[in-house]
Amino acid sequence: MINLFAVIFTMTLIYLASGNRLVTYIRILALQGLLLFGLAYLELKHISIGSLLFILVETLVFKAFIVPYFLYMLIKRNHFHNERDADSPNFFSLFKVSLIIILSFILSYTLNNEHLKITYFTASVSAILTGILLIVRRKKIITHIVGYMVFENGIFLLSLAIGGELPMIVNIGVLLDLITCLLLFGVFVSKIGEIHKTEELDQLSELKD
Amino acid sequence: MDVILIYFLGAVLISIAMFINKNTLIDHLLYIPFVVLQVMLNLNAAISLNKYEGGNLVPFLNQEPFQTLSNWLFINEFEGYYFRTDGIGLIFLTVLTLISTITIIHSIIYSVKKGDAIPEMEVYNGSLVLLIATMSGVLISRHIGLMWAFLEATTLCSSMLIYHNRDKSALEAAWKYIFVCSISVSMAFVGILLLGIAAQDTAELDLTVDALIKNAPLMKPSWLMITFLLVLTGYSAKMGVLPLFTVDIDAKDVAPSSIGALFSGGLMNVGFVAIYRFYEIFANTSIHHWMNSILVIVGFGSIFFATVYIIKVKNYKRMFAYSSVEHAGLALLALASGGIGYFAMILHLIMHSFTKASLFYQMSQVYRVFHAKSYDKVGGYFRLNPAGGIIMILGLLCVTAMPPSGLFVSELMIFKSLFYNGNRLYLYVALGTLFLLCFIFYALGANILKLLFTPLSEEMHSYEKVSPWESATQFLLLGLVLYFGIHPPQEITDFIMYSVEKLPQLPTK
Repeated sequence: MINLFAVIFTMTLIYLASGNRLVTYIRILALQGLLLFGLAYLELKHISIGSLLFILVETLVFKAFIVPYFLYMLIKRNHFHNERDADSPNFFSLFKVSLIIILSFILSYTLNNEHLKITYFTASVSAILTGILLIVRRKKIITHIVGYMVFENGIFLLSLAIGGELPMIVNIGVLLDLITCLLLFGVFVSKIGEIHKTEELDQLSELKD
Repeated sequence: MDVILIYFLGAVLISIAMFINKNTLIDHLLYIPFVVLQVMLNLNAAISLNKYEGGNLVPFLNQEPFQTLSNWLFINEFEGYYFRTDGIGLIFLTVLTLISTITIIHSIIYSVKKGDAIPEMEVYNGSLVLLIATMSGVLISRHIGLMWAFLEATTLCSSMLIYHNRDKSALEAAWKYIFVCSISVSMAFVGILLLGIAAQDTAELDLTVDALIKNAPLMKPSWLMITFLLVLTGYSAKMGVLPLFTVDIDAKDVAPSSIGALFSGGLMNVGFVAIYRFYEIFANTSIHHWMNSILVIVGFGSIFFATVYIIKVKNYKRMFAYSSVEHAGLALLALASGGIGYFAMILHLIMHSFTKASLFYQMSQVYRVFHAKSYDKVGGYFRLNPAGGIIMILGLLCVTAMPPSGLFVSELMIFKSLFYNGNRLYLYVALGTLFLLCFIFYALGANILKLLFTPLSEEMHSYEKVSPWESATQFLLLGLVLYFGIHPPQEITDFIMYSVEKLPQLPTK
C-alpha cells in the first residue's frame, strides 16, 4: 500500500508536467495532499499520538484542502488565465519530468543507504526537482506558487524517507512558516495583479543594475 | 524564570499590539518593553554561558548585581536542549541588540519626521519587533531544525518591511525576496533532512549542534558534502554571498534605510552564523579541506561580483549593499584560511556591522536632504549637513579598511592568514582579492567624495536641515570601530579567541 501511494504520487508529477490548466494544477495538489496523508498515516502509526495527529492534520487539512482552496480563490479573485505559453510543448515537459524520475531512481540506488527508503526517496527527489522545474521554466506567478508547493510536498516526503521524526516544536515552526509564507504569497500576488496589471513574472524587471 | 519563553511570548504580544494599535505614540512606547526584553535575553545568554563555563569566562558577571540576577534566572531542561548560546552566538546577539536598539531609535525618528505620509506604520513596527526576535532565535538555537524555522521566519518579517513603501519597486523587491529566500531556505532544509539520514548511521537522530559535532566524524562524507552545499546555497541569500545575493541587494535598496542597516548589520551575521553552525559540525571530519575550498570559491566569487557591480551601480544604497557582499566574501575567505583567520573573521563581521549600519542610517538623512539616492542627483552634502558629512568621511575610512579603523586590523589579519596558509591557491586568491579591492576602494572613494564635495549643478533653494544629534548614534558606532582599530580591549579579544577555540586551529594545508 505504501509503495502504491508513493508510485501514484510520482505519477501525479507526470500529469502536472502535461497540464496547462491552472485548475488541473490545483486538483493535483489536493490529490498529493491526500496521498501524503495516507503515507504519513501508514508510515508513522507507531509514533506518539500527539505527533501523529499533528502530522495527519497538517497533511489532510492544510495540504489537501486549505492550500488548494486558497490557490483556487487566488485564481478566481485575480482572474488569472491558464498557462498557455509554457516554455515548450507538453511532450518536452513530459520528457523532462520522466528523465527526472529516472535519474532520481538511479540516484536512490546509487546511494545504497540501509536507512533510506528508496520509494520515498525517489518520489521526494522527483517532486523537489519537478517543483524547481516549474518555477524555473514557467512564466505565470501562480504556477510558481504551485511549483513551490510541489517542492514543499517533496520535502515532506523526504522527511518520511528519514524514517524518524523531527521534534514537535520543529514541526510546528515549519508549519507556521509555511502557512504565513502562503498567506504572504497571496497578498503579494494580489498586489502585483493590482499594481502591475500582470500575471507574468517577466514584467517585474524594474530593479536592476 | 523562563527568560526565553518570556522573551518570545513578550515579543509576539508586543508585535500583535503594534499591528492592532493605530496610535503612533503608543507604538513608540511599546518599543521600550521590547528593548528591555532584548537586553534581558542578551544578559541571560551571557550569564548562562558564563555559568556553563564555570564562571571564568566573563569575570565581571560573577559580581553584583549580576550574581543576584544569575540566581534569579535559570534555563530549564527543555530550553537547555533547544536554546543555548555559545561564544559566537553571544557575540552576534550582543551586536544585534546594539544595532536593533539604534534601528528602533532611527525608526521612531523616521516615523516622526514623515508623520502621516507613511502608510501603515503599524505593520512596520510589528514586523520590526518580530524580525529582531526571530533573528535572536536563530542566534540562540542549538537545534538546527529550530534554527531553520527561525531563519525562514526572518524572511517573512523582512518581506513585510521591504514592502513598506507600497510602490512598484517595493512590491517587486518584496516578492522576489520572499519567493527566492523561501525556495533557497527550503533547499537548506533538504540539506538538514539529508544530514538526518546520515545521522542514522550513528544510531542517533539528534539534530542538536553538540550531538552532531560529536557524531559527524562517524557519518558518510558524501552525505555531509551534499548537506554543506545545499545549506551554503540556501543560506547564501541571508548572508548575501554567491549564488543568491541579488535579492538581498534589492531588499537593502528598497527598504527604509534603517531596515537596510539592520539587514547589513544584523541579518548578514545571522546568515553567517547559520552557515557557520554547519562548518563547525563538519570541521572535524574528512571534508574539512573540501569545505574550505568551497568557501574560497564562494568568498572570492562574491568579492568579484561585488567589485563589478560597485563600479557599475548608480545608486548609493545599492553601492553599500554590494560593499556588504564584498565584506561577507572576505569573512568566508577568513573562515576558510583558518588559524588567525578565525579571529579575523569574527572581528571583521563585528566591525562591518557597525560601519555599514552607520552608513545606512546616514543614507536616511541623505535621502531627506536630496529626496534621491542616485549619484547624479546629489552633491555638496558636507555643506548642507556637516555632521552627516563627517560620518560619511569616517564611514569611507572604515568601509575601505583604512587605518586606524578596526576593519583595517581584521583585513590585515585575513590577508596574513591567507598568505601564511602554505597553500598556493590561497596565495593567488589573496593577490586576486587585493587587486579587486583596489577597484572597490576607488569606486567607493570617488562616489562618496562626489556626494560630499561636488556642488549640485542646480542650486538647492530649500532643503531639510538635519539636526546633528541625529548622527550621534553613528558617531558612537564608528567611534567603536576606530577604538577597536587603535586599542582593542583585551577582554573582547580573549572572548573572540574563546569563541573559535573549538575549530581546528592549524591552517589548511
